[in-house]
Amino acid sequence: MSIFLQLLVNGLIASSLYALLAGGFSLIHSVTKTLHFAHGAVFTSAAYATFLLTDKFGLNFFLAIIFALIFSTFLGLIIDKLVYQPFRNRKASLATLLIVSLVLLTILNAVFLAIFGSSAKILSISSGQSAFDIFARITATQIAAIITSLVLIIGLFIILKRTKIGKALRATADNPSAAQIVGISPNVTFSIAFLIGSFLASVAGILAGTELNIYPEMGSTFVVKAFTASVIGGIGSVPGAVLGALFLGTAENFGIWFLPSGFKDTIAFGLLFFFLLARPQGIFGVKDGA
Amino acid sequence: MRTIKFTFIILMISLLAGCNIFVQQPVVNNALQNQPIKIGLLAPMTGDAAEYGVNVEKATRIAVDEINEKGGINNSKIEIILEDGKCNPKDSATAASKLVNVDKVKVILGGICSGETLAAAPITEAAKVILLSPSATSPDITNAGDYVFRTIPSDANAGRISAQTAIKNGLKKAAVLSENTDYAQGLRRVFKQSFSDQNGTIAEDQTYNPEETEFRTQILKIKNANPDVIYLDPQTQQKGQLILKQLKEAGVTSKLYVNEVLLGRELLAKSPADFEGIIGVEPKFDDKAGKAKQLFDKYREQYKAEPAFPYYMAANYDNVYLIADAVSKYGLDTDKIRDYLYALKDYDGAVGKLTIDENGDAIVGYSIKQIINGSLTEIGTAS
Repeated sequence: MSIFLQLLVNGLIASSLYALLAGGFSLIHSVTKTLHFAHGAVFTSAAYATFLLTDKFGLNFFLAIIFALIFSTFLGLIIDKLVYQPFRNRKASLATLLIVSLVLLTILNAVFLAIFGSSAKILSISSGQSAFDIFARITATQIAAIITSLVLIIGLFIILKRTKIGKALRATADNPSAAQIVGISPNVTFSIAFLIGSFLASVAGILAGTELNIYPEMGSTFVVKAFTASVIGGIGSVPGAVLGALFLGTAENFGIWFLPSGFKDTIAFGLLFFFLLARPQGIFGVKDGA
Repeated sequence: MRTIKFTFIILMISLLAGCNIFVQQPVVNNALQNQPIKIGLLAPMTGDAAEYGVNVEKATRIAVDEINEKGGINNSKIEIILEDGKCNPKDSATAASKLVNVDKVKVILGGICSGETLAAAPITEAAKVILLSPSATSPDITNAGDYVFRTIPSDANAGRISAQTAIKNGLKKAAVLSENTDYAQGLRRVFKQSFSDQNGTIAEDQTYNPEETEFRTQILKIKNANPDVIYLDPQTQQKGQLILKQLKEAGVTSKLYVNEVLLGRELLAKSPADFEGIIGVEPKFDDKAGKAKQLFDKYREQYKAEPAFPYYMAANYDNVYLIADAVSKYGLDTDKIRDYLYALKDYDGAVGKLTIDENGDAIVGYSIKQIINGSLTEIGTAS
């Protein structure tokens, strides 16, 4: 097993989570123009919901996943309807929406803290796993995470490019007024964007829960990574965000092979800084919407 | 009109000067009669380290309730003012300032984490407030100040004993994985130094930041160095458990030596398989006899749980009694309380016979423990 391959696989594992989150974040942003940082809380809620259902109520793991996905996906939609929508109706600026989303993230983190306490939770299913040597050392959940992420992202692309819903989403992203003139209701497309985006975040949250500790602020860390990935790939572009996630996850893992490992977040923020300053349109310079 | 103006000016000046011309200063009432005695408790109540804070707080309250039920200190009840230091220097400094300047406490129990204690020390020291920790072990605390004490020994010993034990067991090549906090870094320094002093080699030395949860690349570096032993030095047990899990997944087979936080009882009871085989060093004390037994029996009865960090809890239980004893003798004169603590010798506490040395550190022996078949087993002692 070569070091290079193992680092690549480690990068891929991290990227698969970033990509799911960044894809949804970017979709929501391109369609609704909201920088939805509370996306991180949707992510966390799915992890906690799974923990609650399996470890507290003793539900079957797969059943628990289904309920957690439904819960968190609708949490995303509810956030849009109850919080963002009223602000949008009052023609709130994008900066206001950004602040609202940050406030919401903080409040929801506090809610998780109040309900579940501050100590990290570990899903019992994730304990005592063994790993295989395929090309590199990897566990079954990690393989599942990579495959799930890949399938969902391909699915997302197909929806965006091949279906009517996708066309409507892209039309709203490109030009909401024109889209409305041809009969695409922004309210409907906004809801769809939030549903799809939150679904992806929920999947990422559950995958993270099986891999890492679950704690109230986990979503904040991840949503910043997702934001960074979207900036790297070109903000507002879903394929860009996914590629940005891949780039970020790999760069972090290769980076700390050479740097002291305390620099991991510095790598992410360094990249964010560099791209915002030098190439705000992202690697690919994609300017069209979703 | 003129008189009014004049009176007004006099009034303003006297207000500014801070002397109240109308009310006579009340005579300073003789000390503490019936006023509650406020004692600060600086502990992490949120974050992963809350495990320590929550448990220590419960033990502290048991001691306070016992004293208050017996009438308090010279008829004054003890009142605990709890502030969240969050196990980090920034929040701890804020919390300590609040306790010192707003609540005007003369004694603070804590901080629980070394980072909290080191950040609070300059603030309490300047105000001549006693800072008495049950659990902060960083070697740097030895010189943190004249009013800074602890009822736990310095990690200068724990790190050395871990290194000695590893070398004695024929493990000559070590890797260290430590968290970027005052506590873990103090221990890392001592371990590395002692290990090299005894002709061991440090093959890899990795650190990570407190907010990280994924250590695969660090683990890969360590695995690549192929050490005989890995010294795991996290700030909290949850982090440690996660690292143990990821080490296992990565197929690392080196022996695992750990710091004392990984020997926490609650998580061990919940998922013993994750901790199997690890060897750690913690302050030695008998939790099944004397005051410790009383405390933990009461704890089990009140909270229906096993004490998760027995030493820290017993030490802070003792701290309350020590302060109560000192205050009953000397009032809130912190110079005298300081001298009382320096003079402490063979005090019969929940942690056993307690003696405090000239640096304000406790002198306590160590117990070397291994987790065998899911239970904590003593495999040796050292001092």
